Amino acid sequence: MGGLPTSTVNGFAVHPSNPSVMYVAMRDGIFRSADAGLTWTPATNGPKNAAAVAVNPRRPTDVYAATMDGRMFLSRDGGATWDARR
Amino acid sequence: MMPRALASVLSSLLTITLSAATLTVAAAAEGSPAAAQVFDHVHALAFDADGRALWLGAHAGLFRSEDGGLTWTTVALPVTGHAPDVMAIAAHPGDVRTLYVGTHEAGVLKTADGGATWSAANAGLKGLDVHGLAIDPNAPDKLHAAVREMGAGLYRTTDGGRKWLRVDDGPAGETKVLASVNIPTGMGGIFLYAGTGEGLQRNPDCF
Repeated sequence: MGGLPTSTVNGFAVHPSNPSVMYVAMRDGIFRSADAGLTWTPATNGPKNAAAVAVNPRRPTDVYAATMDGRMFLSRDGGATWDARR
Repeated sequence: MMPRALASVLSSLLTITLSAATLTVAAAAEGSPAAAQVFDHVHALAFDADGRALWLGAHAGLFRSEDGGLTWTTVALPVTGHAPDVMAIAAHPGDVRTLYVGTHEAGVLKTADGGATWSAANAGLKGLDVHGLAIDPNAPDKLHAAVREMGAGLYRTTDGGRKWLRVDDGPAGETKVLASVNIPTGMGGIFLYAGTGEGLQRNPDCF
């Protein structure tokens, strides 16, 4: 489970049909893996202080994240880019 | 009599405070996510099987959104005195009505009607501080729970929460999130992933 910054993993979510694709929510932001957690890529503009992350099972390119303080963010491209929900 | 320098500092502070208050009101008026709902520390987020309802667990309880997190409604849980601190959510992968939540002080609660009614599902748990809850995507009556403090350890049910059995000590470090991931171990089971205070860990779920 390399490639993540050494800190607490707050949230975790998996692609429903391709479980090698997974996301973690951390203080440093959202990270994505396409190899079941061997290597990780940080989302470029994802939220910091991420508490939790969830993948829409019917539209897995839609990934949602919540920050510790309850702000919601949505990525429509499988975690590459993020926007605040408002 | 207040020294002039101090008065000046206090005046500046007052101005800053007032500005911050004005900003907060403006943000609320625009429906800012930050001001829309007070969760008081988010712990968990999960979709139902249809991708319609988004569930959020927080210190302030359990919340449900039907519009992808724009607006939220509080979901009442049968815990006396206060809303329980919802640490984990496990949504049934095929039945939108069935959901489990793990709480900081009341163990596991289960609904089979989309959140209208709940029952405790704690038989066999030696403690009620549940920080992780994972539902098996292939066999949804099989769940794992990570319990902290009293009775700490990893527990498993194979009958939808009617009875739990302690499996082992569970992941090292404080478990923050637990998930059953549909990746075969080659030993007849799948992997259990845990997000912890010591990073992401995984173990076969068959021990």
